Amino acid sequence: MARSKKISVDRRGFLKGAAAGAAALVARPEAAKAQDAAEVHRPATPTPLPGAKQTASETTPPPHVDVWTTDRPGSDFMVDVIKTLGFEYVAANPGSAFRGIHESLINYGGNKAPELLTCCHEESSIAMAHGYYKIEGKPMMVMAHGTVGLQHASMAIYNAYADRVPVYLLLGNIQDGAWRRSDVEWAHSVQDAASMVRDYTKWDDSPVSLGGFAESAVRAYKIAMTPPMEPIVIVADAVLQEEPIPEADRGRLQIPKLTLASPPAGDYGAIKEAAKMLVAAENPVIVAGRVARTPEGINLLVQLAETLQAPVIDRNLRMNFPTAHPLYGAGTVGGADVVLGLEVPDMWQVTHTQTPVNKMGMESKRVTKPGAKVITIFAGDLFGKSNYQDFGRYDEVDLAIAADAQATLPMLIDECRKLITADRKAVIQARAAKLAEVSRRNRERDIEQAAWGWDASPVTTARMAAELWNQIKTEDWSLVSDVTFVSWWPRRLWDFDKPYHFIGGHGAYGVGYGAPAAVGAALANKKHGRISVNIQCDGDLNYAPGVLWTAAHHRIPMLNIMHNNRAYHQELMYVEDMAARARRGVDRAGIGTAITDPNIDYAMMAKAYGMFSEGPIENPNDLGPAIKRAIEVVKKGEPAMIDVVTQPR
Amino acid sequence: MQRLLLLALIAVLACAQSPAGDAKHGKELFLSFGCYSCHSFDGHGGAGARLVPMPLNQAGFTAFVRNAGRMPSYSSKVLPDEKLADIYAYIKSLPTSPDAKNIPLIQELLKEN
Ligand SMILES: Cc1ncc(C[n+]2csc(CCOP(=O)(O)OP(=O)(O)O)c2C)c(N)n1
Ligand SMILES: [Mg+2]
Repeated sequence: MARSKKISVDRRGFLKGAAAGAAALVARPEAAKAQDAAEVHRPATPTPLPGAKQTASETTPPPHVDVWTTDRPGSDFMVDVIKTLGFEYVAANPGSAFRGIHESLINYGGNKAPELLTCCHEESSIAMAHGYYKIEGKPMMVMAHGTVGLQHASMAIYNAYADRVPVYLLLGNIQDGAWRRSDVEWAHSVQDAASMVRDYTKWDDSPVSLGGFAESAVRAYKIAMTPPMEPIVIVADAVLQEEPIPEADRGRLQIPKLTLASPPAGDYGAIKEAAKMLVAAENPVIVAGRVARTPEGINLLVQLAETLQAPVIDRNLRMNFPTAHPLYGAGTVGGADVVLGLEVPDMWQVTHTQTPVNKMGMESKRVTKPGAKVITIFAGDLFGKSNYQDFGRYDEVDLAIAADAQATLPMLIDECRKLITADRKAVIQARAAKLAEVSRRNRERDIEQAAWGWDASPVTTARMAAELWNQIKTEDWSLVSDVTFVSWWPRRLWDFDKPYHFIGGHGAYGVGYGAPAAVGAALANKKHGRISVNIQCDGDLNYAPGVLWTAAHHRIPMLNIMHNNRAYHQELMYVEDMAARARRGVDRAGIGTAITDPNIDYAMMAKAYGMFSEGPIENPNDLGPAIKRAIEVVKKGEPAMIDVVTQPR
Repeated sequence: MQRLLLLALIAVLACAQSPAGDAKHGKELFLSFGCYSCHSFDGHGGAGARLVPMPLNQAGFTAFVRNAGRMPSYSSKVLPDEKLADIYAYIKSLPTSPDAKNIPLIQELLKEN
């Protein structure tokens, strides 16, 4: 039987060249070059397929018969393309629809740039990419089955979409029915794979040739990275992946040059108008949503706030503004005469109150003062989809600038400075001391409240935050989890000032985001030697706890500290509201919301996945020493978990 | 605030009729009726207000629970006065938090501020 000749490719030379990152590159791809000389080798007489009746499925190993071999499958070329985009990692739960690319990535691509991350659930893959982006500032690639994998991935995609996070998702699919080798492959194939998530992705394509793949892959990257950033989907046809690069393509395949679009800055006239309103204001307030895309975004927001002496109300969606800054949280929307919303996705919610859930009926009231002006700078105004309602209620504003806030800030700051006369400067400076005092007192009140229930068991979330802070404040730390379910304590007690100190939250409140997003963010922190801290809700972890194994397997250093309130607590409170409204059975609200009987032993769970762990900790005095021990483990480059039995909020 | 004062006033007037509650039974009710879920197991607050030290007297407390602000209002059908009296007795029995001055971590945070 004829065997394929080895075509030598200088892999080291290749890796140097192709892994150069998302740099501008028009490349004659290595795989296509090699193909010039390569032949597809076929036996003179085709070897009969093993047992005509064999149903190839994912439950049986593939037949080891050398029927058709090639030195350059199409997926090698796909890997050439992927390498030019500069991914560090590709997250995937393995699936046959992308087995061709999988093999090319690890062998042809050397499992470097990108390196494969083994994930136990597609939701974990996507959420890891979500968290990773918020630290690294560039996308992670994810691979999934175009059908079952995408179905698992979909909620996490929606979270990333709502959180304006680019995720680069590559799906496998067998487009042509004649190539589907079994009932499994029929069940795992789909006419229009991306349709399921088209409502919450920015762009998708299903290229039918390798040339088309190259172009779409590069275009997708550009689209994902242009604000408002969003996930994209590329469907890689399995036949294109697995069959040799076609003769006709060999001389002409190329990888187009990637040029990222500059983020859209606001219209100059509108910026001048905004500056006029802000400089003339007596009590301007800035509301920060997803402002800072890069570290520079924080500097710019500080400059604007200081130029105007305007307090900053942070929506906790990104690391926007230093929490110890004298302008942090030093004002209210209700007290402002001009409100500037920067990348705030829910401006209506910021400017209104509604009848709370414990009361019948629905009334809403505007909280801004009569005559107060609202200005928004929002990239969301440049992009809209209609089905999913994450865009929130329509808000009446006075000046809406459709633009990326960070890109617009330099001009806005300049215009404000130009307009500040000596008189205005005096007025503005007169605000400074007062606002600093408000901010200092807010902080003092928070610290004093942290003492409430200090010795209580279960442990208070404030005590947990204070004990953590005590151990990490002298380290280079990064909080890789949300703060909503722990009464925002870390944001109230710790000093957040570095871009990687905080990553915000879910995006669409799709629970199950927490654990994998933390792992992805911690992975991005790894090469910098930072101590990643994940305050982990119990309900969230139980959607797909296998991500603990992924963290252990890939040696991702991170301190996981359980906020183990033994409940889906948020929902427990809602059911209590409903029962009280209906005047019955408040004492039954734990049915369907408690995570007790049996209690879940998270320390044991972590151990089962190969992670250092301690707990459950019920005595608050045991917590400090346990954190110290866990940090020692993290410093050695491993993940660790402490299970803390906590108060509900 | 005004509301609280009003309730306290009503409470003072109504105080004489309030039956004294059973703290032990009150604890069971505090847990089973989910008071802990917003006010924490020891009443130190969370999603809801801190209950210790309790600023209202028993009648004021009852009046508040019947027609609360942000928390669910519990009608007498759900929680009759006797049960509320027990819950009140339990809340009164809860230890207050240690003085912030005696907590080194809190003092350090205050210094950093
Ligand atoms: C995918 C998904 N399922 C259900 C919900 C509804 N939900 C909102 S909060 C919550 C409780 C989550 O429990 P946990 O993570 O332990 O947080 P806790 O409220 O207990 O602090 C649930 C189930 C959701 N938001 N997303
Ligand atoms: Mg919970």
